[in-house]
Amino acid sequence: MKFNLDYNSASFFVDLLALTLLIIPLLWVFRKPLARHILYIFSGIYLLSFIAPRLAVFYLFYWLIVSALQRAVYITEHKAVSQPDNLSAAVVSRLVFWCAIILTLIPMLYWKIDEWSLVTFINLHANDTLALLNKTIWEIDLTRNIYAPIGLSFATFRALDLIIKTYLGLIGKLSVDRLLFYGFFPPVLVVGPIIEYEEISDKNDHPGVPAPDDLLNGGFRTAWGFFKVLFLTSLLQPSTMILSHYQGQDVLTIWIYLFVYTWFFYINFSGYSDIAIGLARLHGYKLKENFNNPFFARNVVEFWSGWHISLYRFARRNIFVPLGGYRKEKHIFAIACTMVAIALWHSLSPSMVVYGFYHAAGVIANRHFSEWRTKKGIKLDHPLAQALCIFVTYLFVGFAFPLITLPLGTAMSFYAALLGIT
Amino acid sequence: MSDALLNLFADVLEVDASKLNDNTSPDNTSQWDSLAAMGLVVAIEEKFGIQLNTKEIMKMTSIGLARETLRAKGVAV
Repeated sequence: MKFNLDYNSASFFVDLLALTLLIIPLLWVFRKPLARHILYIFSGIYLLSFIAPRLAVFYLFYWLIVSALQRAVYITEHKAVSQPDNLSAAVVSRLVFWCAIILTLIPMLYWKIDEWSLVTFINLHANDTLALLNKTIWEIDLTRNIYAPIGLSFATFRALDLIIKTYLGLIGKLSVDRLLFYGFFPPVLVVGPIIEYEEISDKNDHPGVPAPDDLLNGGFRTAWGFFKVLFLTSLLQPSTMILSHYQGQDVLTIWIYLFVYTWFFYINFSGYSDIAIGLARLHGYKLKENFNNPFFARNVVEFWSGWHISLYRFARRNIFVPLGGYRKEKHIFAIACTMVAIALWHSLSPSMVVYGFYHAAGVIANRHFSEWRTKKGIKLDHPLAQALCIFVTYLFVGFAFPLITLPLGTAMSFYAALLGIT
Repeated sequence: MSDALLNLFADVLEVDASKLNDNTSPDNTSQWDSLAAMGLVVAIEEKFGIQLNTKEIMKMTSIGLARETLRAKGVAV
């Protein structure tokens, strides 16, 4: 079996824009939640089918399993809470919760540990499933290729967040249509943000149709996102070549290209977030921000409060806190684990382990520095001091960017060239 | 009317109590970072004489949810 079409994220977002605009007038027709959910579910499936129909099949199975797990967690936890003296109910609840967490994580872990096995699995088995469903779609699917289960890291963390909140009693039992609506919500399917269920739930008093300011703000935000992704990044794109052509370049050139590259990376990623947030707003959904001027942060903690905020928020809530991050004796350990987990979410590679520990060291050093400053009564309020903090933070953060893209050995060779070590 | 929980949050976060309400969360309050949250847990436990477990701490993602969690433990807030 041969698959031979590449995936292009920019074209996906153009398709998403077209679909979003098409759906807007339909929102006045599909006013009831169930009808609206079905509309969004089919839209999400349709968009994934544009990449490859088998991807839609894979995610349909994935979110149906998450739906069953969410119900199981809710039912067992509800029983444990309503029968506080029933020890076995508490044990069952905890057992079901951990099973749900592991089952939700398995596809992503399988992919990150043994990338090609999962990709082959999806390519072959999901395609076979399509053969049973519809011969035409099966034939279309044969012309497509996928190299990765696109969006799986984002989907996994969204699913985990839902299950954890259900276990905590923050979210009730969701009907299948509500859960699939969350799973297939079109704006965030491919490159996030990692939205929380509450951001799009009906509880948010969503009127069902967008207000004029939603259309205006959503339109501007989407246009700004496309401007960043299609125009600004194309201006900065040449900087990416430094990661593969650094040898023979002088030190200053490598530094300049590296810092332009950090802006390319940021503008590109935040541009896709702008598009997702803007398109959701066009439908009346106000998603939380995913970036907040990270390159103007005054310390590493502030950087992480402004960089890929949805991931940082997830990690803080669901990794840092359970590991005892709010207890003084476990605080440092929890910071290290959280930063490494954030890094490994991107890819399970030695360079990302280094990246995680590097940032953990930065956060821990910042904590100690802040405590020392408070004790000594040193303030950094002067504009020059603030500017210096911003510069040092940017230098610290920018220095680590090659680790995100390069294998560890190549990254070390890059750093040698960057520091003028021959 | 004095709200013991709001006052506690105001003290630890170093924010005017009038600016806080049950919807206040780390998402809309920059002072509520992980270091401040560590202080909040200690302050709540000391003030109300209780011990919070991990699940309860995880639930406290807003002042409203902290209030709900404390009430479930029999604290009148």
